[in-house]
Amino acid sequence: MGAALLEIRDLSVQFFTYQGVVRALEGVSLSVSKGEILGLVGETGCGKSVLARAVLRVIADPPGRITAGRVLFKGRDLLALDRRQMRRIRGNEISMIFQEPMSSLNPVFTIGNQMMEVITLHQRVSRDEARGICLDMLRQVRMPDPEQVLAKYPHELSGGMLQRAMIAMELSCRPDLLLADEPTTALDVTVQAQVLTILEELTRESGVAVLFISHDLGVIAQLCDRVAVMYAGKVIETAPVTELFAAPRHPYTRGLLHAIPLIGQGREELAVIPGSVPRLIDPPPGCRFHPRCGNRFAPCDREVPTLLKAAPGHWVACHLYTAGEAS
Amino acid sequence: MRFWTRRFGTDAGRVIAITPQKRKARLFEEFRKQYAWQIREVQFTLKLLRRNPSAVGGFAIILAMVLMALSAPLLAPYNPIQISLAERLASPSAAHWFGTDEIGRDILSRVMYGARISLWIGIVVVAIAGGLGAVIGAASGYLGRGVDNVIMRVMDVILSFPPLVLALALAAALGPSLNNAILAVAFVMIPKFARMVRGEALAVKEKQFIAAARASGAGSIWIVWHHILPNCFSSVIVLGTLILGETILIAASLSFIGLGAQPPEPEWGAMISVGRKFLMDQWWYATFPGLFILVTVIGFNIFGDALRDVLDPRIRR
Amino acid sequence: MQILSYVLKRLLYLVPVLLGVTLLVFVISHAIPGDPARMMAGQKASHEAVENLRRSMGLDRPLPEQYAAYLFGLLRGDLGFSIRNQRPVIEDLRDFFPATLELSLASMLLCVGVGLPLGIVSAVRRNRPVDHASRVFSVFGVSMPVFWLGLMLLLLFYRTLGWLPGSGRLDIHIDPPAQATGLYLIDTLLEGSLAKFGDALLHLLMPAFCLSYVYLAIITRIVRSSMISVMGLDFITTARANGISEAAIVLKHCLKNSLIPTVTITGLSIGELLGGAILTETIFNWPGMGKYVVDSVNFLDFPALMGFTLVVALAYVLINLAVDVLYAFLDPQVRY
Repeated sequence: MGAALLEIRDLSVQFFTYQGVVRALEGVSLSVSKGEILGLVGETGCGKSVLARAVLRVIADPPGRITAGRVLFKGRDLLALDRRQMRRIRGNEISMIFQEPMSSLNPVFTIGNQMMEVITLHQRVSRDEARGICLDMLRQVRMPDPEQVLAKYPHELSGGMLQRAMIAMELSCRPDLLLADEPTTALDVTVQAQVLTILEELTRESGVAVLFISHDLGVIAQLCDRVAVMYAGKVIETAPVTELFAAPRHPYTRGLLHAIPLIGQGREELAVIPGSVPRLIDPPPGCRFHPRCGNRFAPCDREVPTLLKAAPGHWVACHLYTAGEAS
Repeated sequence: MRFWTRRFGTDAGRVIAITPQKRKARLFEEFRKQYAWQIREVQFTLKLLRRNPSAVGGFAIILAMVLMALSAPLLAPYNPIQISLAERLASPSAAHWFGTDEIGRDILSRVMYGARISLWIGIVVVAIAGGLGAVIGAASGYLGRGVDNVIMRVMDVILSFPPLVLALALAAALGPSLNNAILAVAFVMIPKFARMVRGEALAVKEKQFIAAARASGAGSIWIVWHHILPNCFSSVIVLGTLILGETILIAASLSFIGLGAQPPEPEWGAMISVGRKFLMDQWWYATFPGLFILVTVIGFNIFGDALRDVLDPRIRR
Repeated sequence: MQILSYVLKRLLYLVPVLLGVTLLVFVISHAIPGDPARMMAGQKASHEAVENLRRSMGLDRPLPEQYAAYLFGLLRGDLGFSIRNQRPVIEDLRDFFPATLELSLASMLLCVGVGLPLGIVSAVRRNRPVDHASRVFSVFGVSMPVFWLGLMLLLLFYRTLGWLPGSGRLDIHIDPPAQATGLYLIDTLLEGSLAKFGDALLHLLMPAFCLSYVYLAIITRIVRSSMISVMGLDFITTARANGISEAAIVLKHCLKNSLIPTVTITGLSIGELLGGAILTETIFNWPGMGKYVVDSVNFLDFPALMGFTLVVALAYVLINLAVDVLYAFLDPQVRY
């Protein structure tokens, strides 16, 4: 892997609602290297989608706002760019695919129309060339009958086909980074496998880095090179994938992995992390996980833990670990 | 046995005599408990309405008009049909705030009495159209299939006419009078209620408690009356408020053409019709009644919109 | 092909509705007080003459037979006989139709030409001053008594400012243009007389604005609300994430989706324009079908009123059909 392609530093995002200010992301730091597949795991509501949207700056402005931090992409801070510059990056150097393929494409325009729109926007090609690129991409995602698909409307395709069309559309301008926000969650399991295979092949072949968001640990384990775990708006652990699953350090990660039922284990009840995810309007002081943590001690409810290196490539945000130790 | 059970009851285990007051109090408690959920919903609605500026503004206008209508006999400075040829077509002054008409009647007093007519028309029309329309719609939606088809086709036929045109035809056919105008407008408005309630009935029909009621032997009429209609209540109220505004406009239009209220009734539309003849030199005659129509309908529309927003289940969370 | 079957289905559905409309008009005509035969013959006619007339008009037949006769008459274009003008109603309507058409078209143009952009701007600049102003305008529009608005406009622009003429389609001293389409704006241009064109335009301004006011407000409101709801949908986020400009998002992606409810309401409004035209034409002495109807009512010319009612209902139904077909073009999901 190469140098950091995307580096998120201390990013904070807040949503200003009637009930109060939701602190969706607080001091989040993350990096994605060139060509690597980074998995971003966490429960629903932990801020994974918000993070991806913050990178592309497509968070709905009322009520959401990026309040602090920097997002460095190829060395430039995306948050400092003006609108025109940002538009040139979206779909072109950084692309995003979304969770619900059925509602993520405009129902009144054909697939071809929407794909060509993106291509002709970012590349200097003729319409025929653009059409050729569309067909080529559709073939790469193994779409049956690409010519016909171009003329179809979204409601005429199945979820799996739509997601493949989305992948084709987003990769058509050869971006350096792909943000994948739970792309297979809304699909049937068999279709999931297909789409994941295609995604992996295409990105490995062309060296596209991927930020793969999911709440499914199995998919993450299969696909990713490194993993970042999020909880309640903060990144609490990052590690190479095998190490994370073999030697998780943060109590939350441990609890998460322990909760996965394994066949043949002989357990009677499902292991559960006690308590529930905190409301982000009024998060707990100090470490946001401390109310549910079995290992909590003195500093946990006062000081916010920062990401510290506990082992090569393995970072944890927990008071149990100080730099270099593994307690 | 009845004599004793009515006179004596228990309270925390001890036997006591039940006086008439106690009986009333107990019945009231029963009522409170049985409708506790509905009462809480209404209180929540009122709280949301209080906070909504449109609701407050609209309600203030409506209240002002209603008060003006009710208190007209007390507060109107002059008798609305009192003729005074010496003062005919007088411009607005301290004595006559809105001026006088062509036979010297005070326009302010006539406008105030006009509110009674317009509001009355509105209420009666909405009551008739809403009541009939809701029952028709609920029955149609619940009974479904053939009955539903036929009833909805009939509603479609009525809705195929622009409202004013159909009301005009009906009012002309029945003869120029206020009551005929009311009937005509009510007829035109029935399908609007019917359609809406039918939609709601279709949704409610699929819910579990309907199946439960049917399983315990309830007949269709009972179900429609006791289960379907109460669930549509709030949307009927919302639609009723909005239709009230539309009714006032159509009724005034009919009177303007000469088909609604007849002279010497001080109906706003009729006054504008006469005032039109004097428009160029006596601007006040046609202006003030129309202004009151505008303000009244605005009041109902704003309040109705706010009510609709407040009752919208997504916003209530 | 899908669109064709959709249209055919809608047409088939139309037949019972059209029949119902004719039936309703027929029923209403028979609720009219008074003896039509007597009214046709006149007060002075003898009892025998009236009976003869009654028989020749078929009024002594049983009702279902009369209805059938009525239907066949409709197919032949017989809408009744105007008592006032002593000629078939359909000829009356034909004479007065172009004026109403011109007024309605001008109003529609105003409605869409102003309402659409206003609604879009209102949605994009939500909760800013423009939005608040247009929402106030909407409430006024929906609550406005059309006839009163016309009178106030007359007071302002005719009486006080003297900018615009107060009645009719042309100044009394000017001869109407050579009859081509019946629409003065077009006919005067075809004739080449710019002065007449200007005069016709000036006469058209107030009535068209007055008539369009209510529907302008409605269309603005519907465009605004449908744009707002579309702007919150997922595929708009996708478009934004692909770098598409805000202008393209609003004008291409949002607009086409929100056109569907807009077109429906616009279609309904055209039908209602015919109703509002009644009042506007009366106020401005515009010699169209609306004024004709009011005059008929005052003259107790019921056949004319019924003929008009039927024609308007038919037009309304056909316009709604056209709207439904347009639907199919706009929304690919509808073409089943």
